[in-house]
Amino acid sequence: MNTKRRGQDKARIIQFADENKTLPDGSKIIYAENEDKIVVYQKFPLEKGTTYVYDRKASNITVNGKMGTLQDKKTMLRLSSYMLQTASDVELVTITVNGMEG
Amino acid sequence: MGPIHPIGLRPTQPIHPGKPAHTLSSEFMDTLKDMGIRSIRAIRIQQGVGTLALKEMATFTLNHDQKNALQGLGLHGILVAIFSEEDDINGNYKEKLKELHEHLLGKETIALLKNTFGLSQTPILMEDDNHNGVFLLQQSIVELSEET
Repeated sequence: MNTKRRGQDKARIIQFADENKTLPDGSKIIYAENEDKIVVYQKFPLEKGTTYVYDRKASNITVNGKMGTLQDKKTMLRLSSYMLQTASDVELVTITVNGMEG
Repeated sequence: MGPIHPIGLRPTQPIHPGKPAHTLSSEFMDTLKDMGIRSIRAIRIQQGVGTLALKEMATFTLNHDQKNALQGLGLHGILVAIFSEEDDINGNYKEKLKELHEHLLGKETIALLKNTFGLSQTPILMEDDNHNGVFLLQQSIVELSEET
């Protein structure tokens, strides 16, 4: 298993390879992270998406830019677990963002 | 890993199914030319429920035989950007790279990169091993569990 350290990359994104693919509840979900943050984005059709951002150093969470609560952390945890449980390995694509193009 | 050449990825290693495709072999490039593929911007080949789904850019199409040929090369789950020589000469590959990212990642992911990670410029993207991605996701779940 390739276990590159997080610090080498600007960000990592894990999402479905097929952009039309959704979780069983019908939502689209994207997971992303870097050294400082864990991000979970969830969007249901025809609704505005929700972005959960967990600050690893401060141990706090924001939801769509506003300070979140312990309940929001639990929701973020639930969504991450949901994604892991329902998505097979071959359905996902993992993208490393590791630099800037000019 | 090295820089990405604007024409395409460094053609130094052959493609193997299931492994990160950071590079394209010269054999693969020659195969594409033999297939009549001259000017393409992106191929994203993904495995899905027993079939091979091919994502195509608007300016590029593959016929049935070409798709089968790529499948025969064992290309699965690869994120590849190939620019034509014309793009390189015109110097507009950067703009096309932006279009490519939006097409391949989706607008929501691009917005995440910009708004949440502060990546305002066009990032260099590489497809990573899914096992590594799943491992990181598992680690993050543990981390979040400890905080809740």
